[in-house]
Amino acid sequence: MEILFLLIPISILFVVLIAVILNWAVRSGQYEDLEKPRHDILLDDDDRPPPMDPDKSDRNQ
Amino acid sequence: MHRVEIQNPICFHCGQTRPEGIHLYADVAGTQQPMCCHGCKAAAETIVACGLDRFYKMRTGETPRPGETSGAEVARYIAFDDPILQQRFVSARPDGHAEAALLLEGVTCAACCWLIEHRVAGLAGMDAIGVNYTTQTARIRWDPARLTFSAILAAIAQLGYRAAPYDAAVADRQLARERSSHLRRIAIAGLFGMQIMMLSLGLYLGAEGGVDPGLADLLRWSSALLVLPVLFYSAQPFFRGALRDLRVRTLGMDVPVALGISIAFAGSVHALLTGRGDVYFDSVAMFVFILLCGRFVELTVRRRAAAQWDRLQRIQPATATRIRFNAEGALDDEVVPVTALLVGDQVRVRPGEVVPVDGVITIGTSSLNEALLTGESLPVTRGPGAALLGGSINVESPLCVQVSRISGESRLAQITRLARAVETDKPALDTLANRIASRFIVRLLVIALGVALFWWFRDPSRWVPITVSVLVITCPCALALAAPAALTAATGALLRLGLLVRRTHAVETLGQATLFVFDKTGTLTDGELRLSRVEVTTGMHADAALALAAALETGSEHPVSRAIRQAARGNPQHAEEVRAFTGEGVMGRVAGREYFLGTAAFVQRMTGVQAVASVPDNRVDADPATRVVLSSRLEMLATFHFRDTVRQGAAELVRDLIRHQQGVRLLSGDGRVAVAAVAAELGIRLADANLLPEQKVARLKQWRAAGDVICMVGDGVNDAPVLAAAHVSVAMGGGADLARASADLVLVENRLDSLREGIGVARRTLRVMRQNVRWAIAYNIIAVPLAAAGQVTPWMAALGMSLSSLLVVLNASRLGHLPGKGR
Repeated sequence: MEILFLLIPISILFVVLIAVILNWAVRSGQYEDLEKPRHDILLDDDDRPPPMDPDKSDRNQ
Repeated sequence: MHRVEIQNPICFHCGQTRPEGIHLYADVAGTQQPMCCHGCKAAAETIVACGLDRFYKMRTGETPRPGETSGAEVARYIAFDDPILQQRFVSARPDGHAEAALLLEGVTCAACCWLIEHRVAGLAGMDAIGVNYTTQTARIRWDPARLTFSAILAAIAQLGYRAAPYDAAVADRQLARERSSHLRRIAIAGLFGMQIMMLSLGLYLGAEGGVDPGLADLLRWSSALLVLPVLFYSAQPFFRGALRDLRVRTLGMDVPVALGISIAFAGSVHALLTGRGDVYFDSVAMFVFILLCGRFVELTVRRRAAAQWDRLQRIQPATATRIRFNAEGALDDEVVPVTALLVGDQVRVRPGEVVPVDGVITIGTSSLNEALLTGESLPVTRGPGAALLGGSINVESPLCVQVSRISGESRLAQITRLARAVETDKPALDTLANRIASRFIVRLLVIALGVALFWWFRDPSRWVPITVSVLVITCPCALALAAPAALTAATGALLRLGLLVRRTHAVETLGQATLFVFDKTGTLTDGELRLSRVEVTTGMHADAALALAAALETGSEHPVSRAIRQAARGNPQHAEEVRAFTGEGVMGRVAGREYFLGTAAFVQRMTGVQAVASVPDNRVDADPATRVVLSSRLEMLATFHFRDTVRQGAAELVRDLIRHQQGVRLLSGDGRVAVAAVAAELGIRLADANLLPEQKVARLKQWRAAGDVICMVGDGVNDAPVLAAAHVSVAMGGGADLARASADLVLVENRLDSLREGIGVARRTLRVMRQNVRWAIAYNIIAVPLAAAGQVTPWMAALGMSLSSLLVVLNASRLGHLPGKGR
């Protein structure tokens, strides 16, 4: 059972890592529109530039 | 399939049945597809011409019907090019290009987004566009030197969608930020909560069989570490809310929640350090997680309800057509924002348009509909020199108006200010949640103190763990969810009924209302005239008289003409040499004979025929303004009586309210006779007429002082102050913007049936909320004695909390299912 003394701290590290990634995902607007992106892959023509991100204004960056 | 649909093909663009007698087609991908109107045809042809006909294969939702793009609408878009106006929503980029956010209406599927993106991206001078389907917004970037803003809006309008700019910097951006931070808080609470749960499972199981003490310590300390982000990040809104409540000396639900979290955490830390008692870190994390989820759902439902519809109404700028002499000395029309008008400017108001500001007529005579401003149901005739109120609608003929007061000082603006002023002293009923919160805290502290004292004398080594377990088990999770869960479910149910909840307290207050006050014109009535009676003086048949009248009134948009045409369905006769006298009547020739139709005075002047006052004056529909006389050159033929008809469902609504022993009153700005007629028809005994907005508010305040909980239903600008003054208010969706902005609820489709059912939903919501509270308290009554006896372990606390919360949420979700029809 001694291995738990190593595994549990590692699991905590993992959770923190996941939290950081999730935080980034939410911040970067990936949860803003859950409907359209999945259609975009089917609808979009490859010869056109990708549409701009509707939720992020360039002036805010 | 219906037979009619086989005869009349379905429009390929909008999916509606093509009306009889229309034979329009558009060429889509080589096939002639049926079109129901020119608007759809134009939209389809635009789509094909831009090479976007794939849209028809990809679409999964309904496509909006574009309607005919009128000149007035395009002119409205041009007003958006005004640089002063644009400062509000367009931001300039360093390279000289512009960027703005748009609000879209009519987007029903991802293909709609695709269509708009591709159409707009194809415009010359367009840099980029991105459409967000969930929020129904778009962000655009373009080169203002090559492309005007109005051209972008017009391109979208051509496709049949409506677009309006909106200032992303304000409300919505804040809502989006709020949502995103809320989501992060939930994610953190959930993620760390799961880890803590896993570790706790080891402790739960180990409690019986005995676990290595070193390992148990590791599990406890790890849990303590993992709960920190939950406590200091995820639970922040509760602490902040509690602080805010305490600072203003009220007790909201946040106070017991924050208290519960802190005590559970502090007690667990105490146990961790002393080694005596249990740790409840899992309960803390779960508690925060469940409550955050509840709030998130609440926020989402509310946002979805209010967002789209409301915002789009607000953004439309008022425009006016200003007449100016240009360089060559000729008259020139230009569309300008209303705010740019100055006193003395000449403004052109076409039939069907709204008078932009207060002014005086310089040229022309027309009937004006002032119903929204004064409650007066009949159009009034005004000629040169007469004063006009901004906000009234020009019904008949074009007018030139000289601006007498700028928009900030008009009657409309005065009423707006009154509404704002009244709103600040809007009475707030104490919400159920707040009442419970205060009682709950007092009881909780008394019990905890009793338990602590008891164990202090009995067994001093156990008083801390046992008091902590009592406080943890009474953690008000279910109680905190009791009210919001029910309100959220009710908000969704009301929205499906067509009743938009704009303020959270509205549902609760609506369920408690004891006095329902209605406006008349446009609320209980359609605000449209209907023919109520035809009286023939000679031996002529009533239908024949009606047919004659309809022939004379063919071209007019006056409410009386519309009412006559509507009543005279069937084969119209043809009238020649028709001459209209604004506000008085018409004359014309039908089948070779000359006829006159209009007010009694008009007919008498034209023909010398004395209109016979055959109706006794005490009759309710004897109001002279609603009477029109038909006469030939020699004799009077018939008298038509009109009335503002009662809206469908009004009678049922009033009957239903009276049956539930609710007070019903009518409060109108219209004349006494018209008000009395409607009140009598609906069975309302208490009706007041001829009231100004200020007087309406005064009446309402009297009743408020008498202890009634007042629900006000209205639609006009003149109702806005009184809507703001009532405990809870309902505005008609078709009413004035100001009325909607002042109301707590909006009847989107103007159906009074929805209101009747909505009141039922609100009452049931109150019942469910009370049930929920009783459940939550019952749970405490069982759990507290166990905890006080020292018999509760952490797993029981965790299980009890989640089960009681689940029960409350499930009970509330019953409200989402409407009884009866599946609307």
